[in-house]
Amino acid sequence: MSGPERGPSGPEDTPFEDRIAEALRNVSSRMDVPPRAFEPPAPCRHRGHSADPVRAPLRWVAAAALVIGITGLVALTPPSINDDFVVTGSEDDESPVAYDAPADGSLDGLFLDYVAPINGDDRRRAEGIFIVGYSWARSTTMKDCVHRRGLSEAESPWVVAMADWYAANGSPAEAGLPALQAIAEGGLDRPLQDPASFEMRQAVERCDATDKSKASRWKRQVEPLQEEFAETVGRVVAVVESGSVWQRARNCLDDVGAPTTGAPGIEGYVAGLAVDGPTGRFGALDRPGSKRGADDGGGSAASKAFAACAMPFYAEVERGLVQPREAFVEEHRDDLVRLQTDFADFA
Amino acid sequence: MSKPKADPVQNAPPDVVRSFNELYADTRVAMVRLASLLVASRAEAEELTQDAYIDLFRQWDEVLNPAGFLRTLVVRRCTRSRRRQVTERHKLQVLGRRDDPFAVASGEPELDETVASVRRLTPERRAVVVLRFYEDMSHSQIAAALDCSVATVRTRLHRALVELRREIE
Repeated sequence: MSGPERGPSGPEDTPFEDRIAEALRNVSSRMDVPPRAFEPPAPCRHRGHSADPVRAPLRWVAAAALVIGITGLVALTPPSINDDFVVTGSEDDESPVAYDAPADGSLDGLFLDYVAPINGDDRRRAEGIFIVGYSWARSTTMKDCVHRRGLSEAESPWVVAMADWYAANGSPAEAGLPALQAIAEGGLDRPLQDPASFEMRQAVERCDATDKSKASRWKRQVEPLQEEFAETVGRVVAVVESGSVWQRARNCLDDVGAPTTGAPGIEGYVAGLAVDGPTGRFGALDRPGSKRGADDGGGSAASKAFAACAMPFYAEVERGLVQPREAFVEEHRDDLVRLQTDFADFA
Repeated sequence: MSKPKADPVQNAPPDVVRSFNELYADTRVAMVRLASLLVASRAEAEELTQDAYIDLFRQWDEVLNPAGFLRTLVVRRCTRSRRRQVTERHKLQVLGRRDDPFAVASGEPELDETVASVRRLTPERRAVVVLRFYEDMSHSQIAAALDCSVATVRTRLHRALVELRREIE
């Protein structure tokens, strides 16, 4: 544990840092942790690793298709799959993403919408480019590692890509800024069911930790920036929720019978829409004989109503985010420009 | 590498179970305390810690340093969990809710204030502060635990301390 950079009691620590250490230890020492025996988990019966070489890839393909649909990137083909669901992508394959960073060193709006979005639909479009780009690159650099950990050679790239796509579903930015236009047109994205077994996730996690590829380094560097801005989004959303715009939006949502999970603010209604399911069976809109749901080929009445009620609220959030995004860009300009260029380099 | 076992928990040999139980008995209180500094509630800390032990148990025969790996599992689980809660926390604060789950009471006002400020940090900054000053870990150890670069650790720690100084001093 020792070393030149260590320790609250080390020579370079200040009284202020000592105070932090003392406070944390004081609180911790007061915690009474009752004894508890270790409880081994029950055997996993519903989502374990499938030994069936066809069914497991089928799940990934289905989930990947869902993600691709979610990101609105039908035109962007993931690593090619033949009729036996065998991935044929290789490091030499051309990336499905065509992205050119501005040559003059300025920041591209698409990239900004990925790292620091202020509009949910813009965020969604940008995610389609960048997530596909880095997951493609990582699936080629990590496939051998994953393969060495027991997955088949054909499955390995898909497992890596699915891990990225699954992780992106429900990201902080997505939770804070739902894509209203997409919700109105197609309903709320259903949460992805993680198609990977414990062994698959374990393999990807371990390979991810040791992967030194440009794409993995890029991903590790961009995520803290996204999280930092997502917290700004959370703060702005909370501010708007304390005002009259939220009162009107909430009244509108309640009037149309939008369900809420009880979580405070708009988040409860967003989650309520997800819980309500793709058929959007809520309240006054669920009249006998009315057409609704995903079967209509578009957004349900419920999702359209949600989007209509939430639109003014998120317009206010977007206005509130303009200045914080400018400040964020100013603070991180050098990192952002570099990451933008790096992505164009490997994607 | 061979194919993963179908169910390593249920098929664990007795000596593995014995070794694991010893580690569990030796480390559980410390792990729950660490998790409690990183997440919102004791119950959640206990749950996440338990999950980390289960993960460790499943991988027992592959892990060279079980105690270190366990701490990494606990920290990562807690950090991820806190990311999901941060938006909720801001809402509660802005709305002035008194049932803020992050409220603490250690008994000493000055220390209470310090711990409360640490709890208000973002999950990533808070994790770095707790690992540095509570767990006494080096920058490189923190980087390994959080799966980020040493430079990121330094940046987060610096910003966390600036934020804490602004709030406390």
